[in-house]
Amino acid sequence: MNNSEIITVNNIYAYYKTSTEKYSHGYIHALDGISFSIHNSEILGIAGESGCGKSTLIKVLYGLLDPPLTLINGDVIYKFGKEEISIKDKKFKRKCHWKLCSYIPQSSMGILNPTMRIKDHFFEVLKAHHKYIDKKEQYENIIKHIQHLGLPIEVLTSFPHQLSGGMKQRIVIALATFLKPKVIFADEPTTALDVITQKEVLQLLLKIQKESKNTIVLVTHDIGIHAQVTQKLIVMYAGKIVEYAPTREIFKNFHHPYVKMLIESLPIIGDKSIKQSMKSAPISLINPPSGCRFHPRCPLADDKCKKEEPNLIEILEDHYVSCFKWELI
Amino acid sequence: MGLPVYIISRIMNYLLVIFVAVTLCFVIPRVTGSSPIETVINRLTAYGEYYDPITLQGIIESLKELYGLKGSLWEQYITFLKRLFTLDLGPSLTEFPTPVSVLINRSLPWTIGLLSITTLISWLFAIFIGGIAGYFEESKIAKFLTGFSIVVHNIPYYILGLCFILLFSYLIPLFPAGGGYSVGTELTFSIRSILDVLYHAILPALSLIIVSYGGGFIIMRGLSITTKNEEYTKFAEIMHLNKNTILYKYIIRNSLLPQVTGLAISLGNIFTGSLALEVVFSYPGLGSLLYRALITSDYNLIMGITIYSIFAITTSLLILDFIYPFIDPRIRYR
Amino acid sequence: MKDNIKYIKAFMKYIWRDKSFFIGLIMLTVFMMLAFVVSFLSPYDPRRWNTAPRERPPSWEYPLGTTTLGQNLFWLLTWALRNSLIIGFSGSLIGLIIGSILGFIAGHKGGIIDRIISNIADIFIAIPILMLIILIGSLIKTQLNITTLGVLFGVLTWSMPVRNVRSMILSLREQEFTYTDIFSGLNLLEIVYRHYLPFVIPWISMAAINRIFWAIGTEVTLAIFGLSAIDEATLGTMLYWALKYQALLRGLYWWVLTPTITLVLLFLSLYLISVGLNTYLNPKARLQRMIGGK
Repeated sequence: MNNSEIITVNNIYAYYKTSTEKYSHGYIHALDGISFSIHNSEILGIAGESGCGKSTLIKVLYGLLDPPLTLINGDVIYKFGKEEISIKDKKFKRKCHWKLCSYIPQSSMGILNPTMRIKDHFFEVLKAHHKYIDKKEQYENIIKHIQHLGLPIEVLTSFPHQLSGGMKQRIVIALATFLKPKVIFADEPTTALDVITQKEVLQLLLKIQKESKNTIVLVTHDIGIHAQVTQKLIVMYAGKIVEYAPTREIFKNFHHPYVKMLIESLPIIGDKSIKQSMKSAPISLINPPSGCRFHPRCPLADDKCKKEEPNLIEILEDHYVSCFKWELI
Repeated sequence: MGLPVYIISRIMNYLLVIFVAVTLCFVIPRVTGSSPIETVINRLTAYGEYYDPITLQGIIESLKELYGLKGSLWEQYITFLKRLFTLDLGPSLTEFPTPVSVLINRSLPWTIGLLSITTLISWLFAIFIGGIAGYFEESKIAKFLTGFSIVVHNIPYYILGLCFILLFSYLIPLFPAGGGYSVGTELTFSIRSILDVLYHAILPALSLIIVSYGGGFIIMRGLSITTKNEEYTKFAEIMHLNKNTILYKYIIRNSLLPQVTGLAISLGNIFTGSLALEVVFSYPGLGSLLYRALITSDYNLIMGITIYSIFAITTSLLILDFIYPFIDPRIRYR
Repeated sequence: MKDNIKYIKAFMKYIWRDKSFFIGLIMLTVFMMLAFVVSFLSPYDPRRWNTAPRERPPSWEYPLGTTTLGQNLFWLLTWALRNSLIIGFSGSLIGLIIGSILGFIAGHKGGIIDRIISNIADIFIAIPILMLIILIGSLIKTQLNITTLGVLFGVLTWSMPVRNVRSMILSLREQEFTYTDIFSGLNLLEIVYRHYLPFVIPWISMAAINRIFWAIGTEVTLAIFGLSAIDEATLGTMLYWALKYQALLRGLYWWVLTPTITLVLLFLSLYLISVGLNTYLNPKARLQRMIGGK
């Protein structure tokens, strides 16, 4: 990998094992052959509809392989300076988690321990990642960090149930950035919030990135957020990458029918035209369709699309698409 | 703030419950139509003794006074309540004229001592072992402990007590088969006496501890598994916090509230179960006292023990209610 | 009807898979057979004294031994099981039905009726019922028999289900489909049958089993104090007579162990069934099984 690549994703196959009455030992094909690289100091967005695999991808990237999620094949390799470490390495979690990379989960009201004050959350983070702490000194650091992120000091002595959803989300971001990690994964950080708080949270993330020059991987189904915040964008569908390019490029020059429908569904002020919706329904990932996974819903699908799976090919510099009909878009 | 309101409402509820329960204790005997006076008279005349009508009448009048059956229903009720206030539960019939309250006070320390210490020990064990077993639920030790608790927690205390007597008093004479202290010895504060008491308490205490531990373990383990899957625990694991922190501050700490609720719910059963246990072991607590009272139909004593027990249980519940705010910050700060 | 058959089939499959549930079910079936089939085959009334030679240890002729009063423990056990189970069932169901109806009324009607019922129920939940049962038992000692015991337990334990049923009804009521029903004119009984019952039944079955537990256990506890139907045969009274005649002291272990072990096994089977039923009916627990299992 070249110097600016900080994470390399090699051909990941990640499935969820299920054991339901109908499908014993069935697998949900969450990710089928994903490969790409993430570069230093970039803001990468991962977009797609519910169930396309973006949350799974981020969990795998962070190394969060809790059953029933299983990494069947492939690897994710981190590069910090001269050292490389894979997520499969037993020491990966201890070395990297929260110190070098952190993860902001799809948050809800229950993300913080109801019986611990906020400052204790921070103290526990310190206890876990440093051998010795001088409480007074570290408390100063915590206060500094909180204030730097624009949060009031009173928050530290509160319990989680006394705070609003937006505040909790900001505290989660504060916790995630506390040890100054090089990579931050954010899974739908704004979904549960109102529009104004959304903007504030996004601005917070941007501010952090600007100052620390770290890498942010942002997962959300809201294309509008990707447009505002991300530099590069991956669009996923049914466990596969369908298009991958700089964000501006995707919006101006998309080449995949799914991405076309996605972007054309965005409302523009003053536009009164009727939006088209896609036919058919989201597919089942237990028995994915043959060939190109988008073919049941694609207006351009033909026999080739039904039989063969398109590969991710580089059609322009830094612009990848996986579709046989890309030239038609 | 929510706290003073909470405390006051709990106390009001407590008083209301006691009032209703005590009123029930007053109403029930009068509804079931049994007359203690008849029982006494029958016993007196059972051996063919003859009392002339005037003496009989005099006896009945004094009995009425003693049993609080004088006057109309309303007057009886007022007398009843008044006496309760002064902790006057009347005299015992069989140990006349010893007041019921004296008898109860003699037995009470034994019951309270045994019950409180064993409950404390068993639930402390249950909370820690159950919490850890729930977090590591796949491990073989956890599975074994769970199986053990499943079998054990259902056994009524006195049944386990009987088994212990069988095993460790008869088959293998290790422990005494009953009593609170060695027959014929004096109870003092000497070391010998204290050790003697403890020696006699081992089998009953063991029965209580094992079964209570089993029940508490199962509840705690279930709670631990639920808490383990909560978002905040998962986030703590994502942040790679110390395993100790997760176990104590996340899992156990957050399971404490429903666990204490579970204890509160089973308190009534634990209490009555231990009374029955005392009968089996002839342990000189409230249980054996109640047993004697039932055999001799000592009306006042039965009533007294019932009221006392109701009072003891509801007060314990009130104490538990007061512990809640310390466990759950959501109650402290609204 | 087809739906119901599907449910039953799925249930059967589940029983097969969950071993502990299966064991519990088998044990309970054995007990039920003993209690309700075998007990009627007894050649004589096992309660009567001197129908068998006294104090014989277990042998081929007397599989569980005999008592000091000359009773055959085996037949006595079958009768005792039957009576204990009857007390268990009736005590459990009577209180459950009363409490559920009250809870339903409270949840469905709301308003003042709800508050009255809820407050009264809350007070009764806090009162230690067992002590009251002992009190009542001591007063009507002579009138205690299987029926009165069952009714006594049933009538005094009505308060627990009220809270639970009420909260279930409250949340169901808020769901849209109930409003559709009310607006479309379905009468009350149909609403109860079609919408409330399917959701409430899982909880009710769980509660019923737990209460059977409790009722049987309470009868034995009462028996220790001599407050049960002494002349009848129940698990509790067997224990009572054994203790009264100092069976333990005099080495007549089989007399004490028979009701003891039966009781423990009966409780174990009921517990396994209730846990199995819970995992089956509780969607969260099912998810756990799926994630953690095979």
